[in-house]
This record gives sequence, C-alpha cells and structure tokens, in this order.
Amino acid sequence: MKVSCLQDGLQRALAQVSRAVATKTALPVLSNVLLSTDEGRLRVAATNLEIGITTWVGASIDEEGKLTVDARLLSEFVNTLPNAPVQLSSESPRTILTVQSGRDKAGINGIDAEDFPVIPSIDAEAEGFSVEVDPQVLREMIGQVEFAAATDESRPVLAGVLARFEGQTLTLAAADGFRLAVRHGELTQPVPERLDTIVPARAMRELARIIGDQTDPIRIAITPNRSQLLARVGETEFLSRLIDGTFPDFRQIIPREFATRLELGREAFQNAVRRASYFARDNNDVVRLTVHPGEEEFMPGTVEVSATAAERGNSQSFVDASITGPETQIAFNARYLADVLGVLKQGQVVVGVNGANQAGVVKASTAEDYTHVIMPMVIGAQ
Amino acid sequence: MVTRSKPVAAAGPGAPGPLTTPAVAPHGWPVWGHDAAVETLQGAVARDRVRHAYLIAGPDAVGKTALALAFAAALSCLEPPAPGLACGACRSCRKIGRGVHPDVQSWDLARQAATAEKSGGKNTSMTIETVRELCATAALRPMEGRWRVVLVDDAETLQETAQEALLKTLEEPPAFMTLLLLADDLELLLPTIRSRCQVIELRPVPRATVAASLVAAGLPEPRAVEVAALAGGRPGWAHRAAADPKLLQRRQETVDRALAWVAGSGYDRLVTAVRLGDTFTKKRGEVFADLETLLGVWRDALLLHAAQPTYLTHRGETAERLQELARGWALDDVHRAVCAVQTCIGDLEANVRPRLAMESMVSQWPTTTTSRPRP
Ligand SMILES: [Zn+2]
Repeated sequence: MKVSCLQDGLQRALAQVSRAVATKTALPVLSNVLLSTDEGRLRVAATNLEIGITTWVGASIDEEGKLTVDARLLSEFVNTLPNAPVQLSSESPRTILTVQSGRDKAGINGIDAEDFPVIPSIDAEAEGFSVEVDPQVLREMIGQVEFAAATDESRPVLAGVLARFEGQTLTLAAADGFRLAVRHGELTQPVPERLDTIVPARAMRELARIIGDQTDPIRIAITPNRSQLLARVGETEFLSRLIDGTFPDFRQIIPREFATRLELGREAFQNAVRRASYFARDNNDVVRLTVHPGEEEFMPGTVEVSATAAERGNSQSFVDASITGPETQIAFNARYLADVLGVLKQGQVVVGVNGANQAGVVKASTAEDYTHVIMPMVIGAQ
Repeated sequence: MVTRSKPVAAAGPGAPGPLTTPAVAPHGWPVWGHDAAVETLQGAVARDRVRHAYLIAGPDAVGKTALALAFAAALSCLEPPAPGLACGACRSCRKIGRGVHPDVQSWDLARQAATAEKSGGKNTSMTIETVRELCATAALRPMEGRWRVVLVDDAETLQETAQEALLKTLEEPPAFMTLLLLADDLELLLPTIRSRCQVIELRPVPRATVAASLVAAGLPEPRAVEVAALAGGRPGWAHRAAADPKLLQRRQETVDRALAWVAGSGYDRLVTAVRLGDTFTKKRGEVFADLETLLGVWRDALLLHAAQPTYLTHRGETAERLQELARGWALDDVHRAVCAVQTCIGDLEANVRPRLAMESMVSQWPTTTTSRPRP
C-alpha cells in the first residue's frame, strides 16, 4: 500500500472510528483500525463486534493495499503531526505500516487485514431493506428512548431498542421492566412490510453521536440475513449487530385513559422533582405526587411533590396544574421522572394516573409522538 | 486403523481440500480418532440438525478443541466440498484456523485471565463474571456467517454460580447459536447443564492412530511411535510433545516415578502413598495425573503377563523392567492391583480421605520378589 493524504483528514477519520475500537478484547485485531485503499480514497474502519464505524479520507493512491494497525498508537502519532501531507505505506506481505510526514516517521507493527472482521457496506446492501430518515429527528428519537433500556443484560432483548419500520413510520421503543419509552417518527418513504429489529442501546447512543449536527437524510439498511443494521451518515457508515428475539408488545402496556389527568409546566415540575430527589436518595428514590384538584370545576389545582427520608428530613413543593379527575396520590422513582422530563422539549407536560398501583404516563401536552410509561412505587398509608 | 463405516457426507482417504497441519484424518475432519463423535457432528451439519448445546468431555489433550473447531469450520465454511465438510481454504475456514473468526468465540481460563478486570492473582476457575460477559453477547446475531459457535473450554472449572448463569442461555438459546462446552470431567457439571446438552464423550485414541497423526504431521515413524507410546491416547499431547522435548522428558519422569512405586518394597510403597495422599488437596491435578500413569503401568503389567504387547502404553526399558517384575506375580494379583488403582481414583473423586484411599490401594498390590534398589 502506498497512500498520501492530509493530516487533518486522517486525524478526523481516526477520531471518528475510535469509538468502535475494542478496548478489552480477546481478539487483538479488534484493537486495530483497518486501513484500505478504496476507489481512490483511503477507507478507515474499526469494530468491536457490537458496532462498526467506517469512514473515508480523500487520498492519492500510488499502490493499492490494506493493513490493520493499533488504532490508539496510530491516532496518537498522527495527532502530533503538522497539517501537511502524510504518507502511509506498507510492503506486503510484511505487516508494518510506515507513516511519514516530512522528517517525522514511524513504523507501526500491524496485523494482516485478512484477520479483520468483514464489515458490510451499505452500498452492497442496496437490494435489501433500506429507508431514509431525517437526521435530527432520528437523533432526538434516540435520545428520548435509549435511556429506558435495561442495563443489566439479563434479558438481552430489553438491553436493546426496538426499531420498528411500518408504513411510513419508524417507531423506537425501550423498556426495562419499570418504564417504557416509545417515540414515533416519519420515514421519507413507506416500507413495503413491517420489520422489527432490536439494536443494542449502546449502539443507538453511538449512532446519535455520529449523527451530531448532520443535516442530510440518513439511509438505514438491514442486511438480508437480518443480522446487522447499517446507517450512512454523511461520509461515515455505521454498523450495529442486531439482538435476536421478540420485543414485548409494548402497546398493551400503555394506558389509554386516565382517572386523573394533570397538565403542568415542565420546568416547574422538573425543579420540584429535583428538590425532592435530594431527600428521596436515602429512601429508594421515592417521590410522592399528591394531586389536589381545584375547589371547583375548571379551577386550577396543585400537585404536591414530596419526599421523606427517615434520617435526612423531608421536602414539599407545590406546582400549579390543571387537573381533571379526582384527588389521588402516586409515587414514582425520582430518577425516572427526571429522565423523562429531561428529554421532553415542550413547555407543558401531561401526567396520566389511574390510582396508586397502576402505571402512569408522562408525555408532552401538544405532541402525540412520544409516550413514556412509568410503573409506580409501592407506598404505605400515610 | 480407522475402520468404522463412514456416513455419505464423509469423504474417504484422499478427501478434497488441502492437507494442512494438522493433517486431515480419513473422515475428512482434522481430528484423529473419535470417529463416532465426528460422525455425529458431521451428520448434524450435513442434515442441518445442529443442536444448541453440546458437551464434549474427555481427558486433557484428547482432541476436544480439535473436534469443536472442526465442527465450527464445517458449520461456517463458505464453500463446503461436501455436506458436513469444510474446505479449509475459504475466508471462514482460514479465520477459524487462525482463531480470529468473529462468530467462533472461545472462552477459557486463559482468556479470563487476559481480559478480567481484576483476577486477583488466582485464575483456577471460570467465574460468573465471565459467564455474564458471554451471555451478554449471546443474543447478538452473527457477524459474518449464519452460525455463531461459542466454545467454553475448561468447563469443568465453572463455579456453581457460573453454571447457573449459563443455564439461562441454555434454556433459551438463540436459534443461530451452538454452545460447545469442553470439559475434562463431566461429573463436575450440574446435572441441569448436562441434561440440556448433547453429551459427546471422547475416549483415549488408539496409539496407532496417534502415531499416524504424528507421521502425517511430518514426524519420522520411529519417533512417532515412541512419542505416541507415551501420549496415553491423547493426540493433542503427542503433537505438543513432538515439538517440545521437555514435555516428553517430564512425561518420562512421571512414568519412572510410577514404575518405581510399583517396583518398591511394601514400606516404600506405603511411604509414597502417604506422601501423595497428603499433597492431594493442594495438587489434586498432579496426583490424578500420577494415578492415571500408575494405572497405565499396572495395565501394561497385565498385558505383559497375558502376552499381549500390542496394546502396551509404555515400551522400551519401562516395558522390560515391568516384564521382569510381572514374572514374580500371578495374573490374578496383577488384575487385583489394576482394580485397586481404579478404585482409588474413584474414591478420591468421591472425596474419600486421600491417605486412606492410597493406603488401601497399595495394600492390595502383590509384593515384589526382586530386591533391586529404587532408581
Ligand atoms: Zn471453507
């Protein structure tokens, strides 16, 4: 291989793929980055066998070839070079990469490219399942859903985010047994048939990071064997392996009607929850909502947000709310409330409650595309 | 020496595919001996009836890993020359050969030591953390192929909590995954684990087969026979020993120790029994290895007595010395000694007090009439 490219392009590419480089691995090649010549450009790829990131750098190619070298060492060296042309070369079958910029030179011992996992390209999957979606919509969707996925991996399906393609809608859903987040978004074209895939939550977060402030539509493809999701984001291709299994039917979990419905300002509610959370910390994060409807119909009511910790003390905050339905009380995990209030964008939120032992719903008052369900915490009589 | 009839899928001698090291045995898999096991697994691949879990059990270096990798190669080969076979040359076969196939993962003590965040120095058993890590990725669909093969070597060292954690994956195995548990000792695994696996037991391979495998790997015949004789039916050990004279020498020392024990006086025998009995808790593995060798020596004595030298484990000087000793014993006496060693091994496995088991064993050996000093 004999390639010349600009230092800043190479540095950016190595930084972009670095998130997919394995840190703790039984397979040394996974700590490496794959460099290969690809139709007049330099292809840079990394994978930790859960996700893969591939990107391309403009280059002038004197001799085709490919090689893998330690990702960290190469980045560190390249990052210190001036922004000038960098020559990368290796002489097959030797697996040493020579990196040269002016009088600075390094020889980095590598591993044969053949040992590197095959990362399918989204272009090669053009025949299979493929959709387009707005990048900022997708990024927001991921942010509103991924945190609800289970972190303990004892049920692999719940450690992932469901991505359901149906009609012209993409639905993302995540649940950990205590809460459920569901968000719908629009696809640019309808899909011929419904397709469910489960993407590891970590991979979803990484995809959101890669999207960044990208504005061009993102193409998403699923490999024909339904084993991987591929996404093209600008000059970068992202791969995630899919989790096998069936996601629970989340529609059954979402309550459609509420005995008591409250609408209140998101920021005021968020602040009240935060204040209570400091006291809830020592009491399993229990935050209690006591709903006091107005004296007469259509009169504003209040929601009392309180927490008590035997050792530490207690707090009460009152938030104005328009309330329909009878007085009620319910307790939630403070962290769960804080999480969902943190990802809602609108100023007014709706909380739907069906008594102290039924799941509650939190959503925006003006948008129907996001629903968050939280299981209540059991509270004793006070 | 391989005389079993082959399934349709298996090619005869001269099977297609390049002969690489280790050489391909007549059934078409790079596995020597274990014909019934190979036949079972080849058939599973050829008929697309692969089970989600296999438990491959047998002594150390008998060929468990070779069998498991051959199975993985046959499952993953991109251009199989015949159903149930692997070409040995495609991208998938090459990756499995070099241990870098992303869909064929091995978990063992060595990997645990290399990747565990803090191993605390000791690394003698597979922990629940390792199993959790394995299970966390178990549900990921394959990276390159249709199948994922997960090998768990040293499975006999899995802690009980680790085995329980593994059960969850065994109860709901993903459709594309086959889990291969490799264990030296079947009995150390929970019955619930065993019952969820198809058990494939590997026995020591005939010495002639081990020798043939060494010859096929390029070792001159006389040396191959010599190494095979010490291998105790374990081709993996034989190939390692062929490349490592130290291993061969250590093995010879073990044999010499066993022979000296057998040839010793009643008092010397008892002293050795007590010493080994007292070190048993600390050096369980070594004591068992010594006892296995001892069993081989007594068996040889029996064979020499019965004038059946073809099946001898030990040859040369060892055999000559044994022949000499055996002359002073009746056939029944030698037979009783063989049984006594077997009983002792069984007793130790059943946690009988080690010293008691050992003393009882040597008390049943026939006395030596020759008065040669111990070497
Ligand atoms: Zn092949």
